[in-house]
Amino acid sequence: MSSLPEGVNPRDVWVVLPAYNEGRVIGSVIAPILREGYHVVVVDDASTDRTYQEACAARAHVCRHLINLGQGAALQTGIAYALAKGAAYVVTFDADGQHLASDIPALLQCLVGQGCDVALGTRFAPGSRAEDMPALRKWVLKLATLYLRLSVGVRVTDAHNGLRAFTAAAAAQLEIRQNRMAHASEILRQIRTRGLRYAEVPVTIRYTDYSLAKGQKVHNAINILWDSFTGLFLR
Amino acid sequence: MNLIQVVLVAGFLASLVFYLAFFRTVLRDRLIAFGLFAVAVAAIVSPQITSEVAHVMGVGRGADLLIYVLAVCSVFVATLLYSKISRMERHLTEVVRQMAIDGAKEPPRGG
Repeated sequence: MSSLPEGVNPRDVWVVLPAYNEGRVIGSVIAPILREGYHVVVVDDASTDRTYQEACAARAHVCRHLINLGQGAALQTGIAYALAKGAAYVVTFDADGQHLASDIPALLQCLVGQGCDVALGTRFAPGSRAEDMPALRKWVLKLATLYLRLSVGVRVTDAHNGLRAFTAAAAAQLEIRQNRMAHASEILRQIRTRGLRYAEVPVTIRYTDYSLAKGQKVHNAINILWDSFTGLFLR
Repeated sequence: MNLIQVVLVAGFLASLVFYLAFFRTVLRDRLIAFGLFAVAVAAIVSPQITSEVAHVMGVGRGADLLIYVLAVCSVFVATLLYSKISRMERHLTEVVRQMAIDGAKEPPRGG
């Protein structure tokens, strides 16, 4: 495991977990992050299970949406909360347990050491690991990434990785308006239009039966395309 | 007047009264509503008007012209409603977000 870059206090790092019905695993996702000394803010997107109670019991900060708005909206809420709390660095992290807390220092190293505004996790670059990734998922993700490279013009290898780190200044410039899943491409588009410096960092993704059942279905790619498309016109 | 003409005029009149009575909008919108009502009544009372307009436009029958106009109108209305709903969703998001942040639960200190 790599250690934090010099001069970075883990208490200045806020990890945002958007969560919808993750009660079964949320506690075990929060604990390793807190153990590293980071702050955790869970945004409970109106879950119908015990996500809220479990997140509180795990000693995270918990914001709760009164109605379900989607992952994009939950991310924006968590980022706003973290910035209001004085975060110096904001990390986004999926709540279903597919990311590793031990990958966070490498993202921060990218911000501090390389002077980036945004560090994006990738599962497709050399040095990254995607454990037990189904083949269909792999090709849909690669296709989506190719589409974004062409349409947005960002040089990334993995456009839909939930693990990212932002400096406070960069996070404050984000304005996620895609409430549902099209926010991943929206974030890339805003990185591009706001001229933020970004780099990819290899990370590990663990595909478990749980995360596969909970996560994005491959056919949802169509919905994401539609949301992205209409989002361009409806301001 | 045929029975169908009476029914149609009554229907449009009821919508107009309903709109003016329950939706207080700006004068411009009221004038547009009146204008549309007048056009509808004219077309109902003397159907040859739509036929003549159709001929001018190069459409065979008045009824066909009505279908085309209706198609354009329904697409326009659908787009208008979609954009209004999107805007409402954005406002709702802001409200829900602010409430979530204001009511955030912080972990107990120490320990």
